[in-house]
Amino acid sequence: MSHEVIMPALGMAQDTGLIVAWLKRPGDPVSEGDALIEVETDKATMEVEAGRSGYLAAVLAEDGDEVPVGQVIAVISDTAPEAPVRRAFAPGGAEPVGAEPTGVGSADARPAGADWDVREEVPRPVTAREADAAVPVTTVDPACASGRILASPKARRLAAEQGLALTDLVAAGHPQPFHVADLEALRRLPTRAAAPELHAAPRPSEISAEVPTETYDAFRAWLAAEHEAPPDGPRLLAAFAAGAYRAASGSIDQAILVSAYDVAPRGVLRDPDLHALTDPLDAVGEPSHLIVRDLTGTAIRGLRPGYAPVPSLTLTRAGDTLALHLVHDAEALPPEAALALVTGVAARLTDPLRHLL
Amino acid sequence: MTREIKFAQAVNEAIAEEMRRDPAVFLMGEDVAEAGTPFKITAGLVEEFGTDRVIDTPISEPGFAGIGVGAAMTGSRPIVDLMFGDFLYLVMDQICNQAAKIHYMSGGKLTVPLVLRTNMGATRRSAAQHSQSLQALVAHIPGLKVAMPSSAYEAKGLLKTAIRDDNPVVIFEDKMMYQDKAFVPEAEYLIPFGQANILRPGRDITLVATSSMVQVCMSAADALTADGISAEVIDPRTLVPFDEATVLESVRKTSRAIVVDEGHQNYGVTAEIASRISEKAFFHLDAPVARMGAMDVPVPFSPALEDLTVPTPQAVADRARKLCRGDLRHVA
Repeated sequence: MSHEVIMPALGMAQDTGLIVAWLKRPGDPVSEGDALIEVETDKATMEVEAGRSGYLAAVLAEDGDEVPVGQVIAVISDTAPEAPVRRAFAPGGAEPVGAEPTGVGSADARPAGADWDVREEVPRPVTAREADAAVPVTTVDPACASGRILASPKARRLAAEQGLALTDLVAAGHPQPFHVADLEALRRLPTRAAAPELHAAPRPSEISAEVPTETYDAFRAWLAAEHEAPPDGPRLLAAFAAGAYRAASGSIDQAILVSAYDVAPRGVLRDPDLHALTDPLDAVGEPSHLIVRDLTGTAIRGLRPGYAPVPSLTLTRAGDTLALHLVHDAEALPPEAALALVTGVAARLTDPLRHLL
Repeated sequence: MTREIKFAQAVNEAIAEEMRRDPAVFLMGEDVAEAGTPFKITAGLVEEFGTDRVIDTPISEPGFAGIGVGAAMTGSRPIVDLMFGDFLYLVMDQICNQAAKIHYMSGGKLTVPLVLRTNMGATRRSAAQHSQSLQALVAHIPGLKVAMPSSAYEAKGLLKTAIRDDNPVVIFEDKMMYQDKAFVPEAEYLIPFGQANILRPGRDITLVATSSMVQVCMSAADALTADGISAEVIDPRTLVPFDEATVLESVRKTSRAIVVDEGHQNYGVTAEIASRISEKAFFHLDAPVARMGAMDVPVPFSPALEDLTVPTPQAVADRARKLCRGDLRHVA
């Protein structure tokens, strides 16, 4: 291998450098860090060091030559050159180097364009504003549940000016926050006087529970120690929830389908409670009885999901506490069954062996 | 007649023309005479005006900035060249405590017609101490005017206005832009302070951009046309005085705004402009006013990392799309 030494950019607006003196002679052995050459710019005279150990096989610019930045001024070879080259600078000097049959070594012909990483080069400034830089975006649902309507100032002003009631848009289940474009949907709503109850969004019931993390974490640590492919959080939660749901709803013989998520959907699992926790379960493409979300691995500490017809159970972690949150439609899952479901999952989280028994 | 010249040449012409016009104008700083500055901006001036009016100083920013303030108080119109904007820290007392306050404290008897020419802008691989964009530091101080040229045309017109202004003016040039060309009239022209430039009219979102970020926002606006989003790009030209009226009028029309400046985002230029929009165009806003500045870290020397710290056209277009779609996850 041979390594090219180029005229470095030593100053801010430097186009060329003047070779003051070579500090090594052609054929000399050089060690990495040895001063090779003195270069003068319009600000200062500096020494250029060898970036590699080897032999100075070719000197391609003489003392007094003015060499453009980036041009090859020397070649360092790994083996002692038989006939070291020395000549004055010739623009476009890279080609003659490759053409030298001796010294540089025809045996280790330089692969074209492949030597970028071995060049001694001071990086030249490059405009990089065109470089693509994605701005990370957090994904947290902005809809707050304070009961206050979220609308842009302009949407609010226009609605007030035009006598439109944003509450009608809320009743129609239109997603917040409202922007000016949403006022169009508001204008299209059927006569606003007609029975507002009909437009009222179904009101979900909610149940929360908290359990300590200790036994759950110990159980997962044990699973990880015992199994090569331990079940992950969503799989575990799906199993616990399916077991508790089966007991709560009394549907002992029915298939229970659980749609599992962490932040992303992990697929619908059939009867995850009836299989060993380490069994791989194929996702099925059917509507589920239950949605579970395991957010313990995320920074999310709480959330208030909107209405969904399918009961939705979320697990979050805050310090030493695991929090369970169930949102359900009282018609789809009666209050007693919902309480039993949350209690059952909480019990399994507190004492995971209960699930296995 | 107009011709295409580089930003650096436009600055050079502005200085030369003003020095020919007014014998009170002189230039002073490190390497301004023989070397013509590291960016070759003042090359040739010493040949025309001599070393009495194009003065190489020692490496002594506090000293020559102070000389500039004194000269300005006593009848001269100095242009002080501060090689890097990062060296502003060295001249804070001279500029912020003296130059900015003397007219006020002398009951209007003294003026300080001083121009501090300096630069800003990262991505030149110049590391943390030669890459900062510190316009917010001086824009914060009453008594200083702050100009941010965004092209060769702007650079010449704004610098000539700065030299003729009786107040201290700090003018920040983007060091990445010195080689960029633009059409510049051969005839003399001035660009008044406090008059924003609407570079591109638009309907859906206003992009307020300073200096280096003007190009970035123009590219973003181009990209947004593919999404059917029409972006208005406004260059305020001067941070002090600030053309609030033009910006507010635009935002009242588009109802959305992103403010982009290459200074650090925290407590920065973007914060001031965004806050004015939020306060004064509140009932016209259909989305929160977004700010985009340089990442709040020392500018890295690593090229790969440095590039990530500065707003890009893609990032601006991305943010604009989200605001126009009502996707507010980034503010939740």
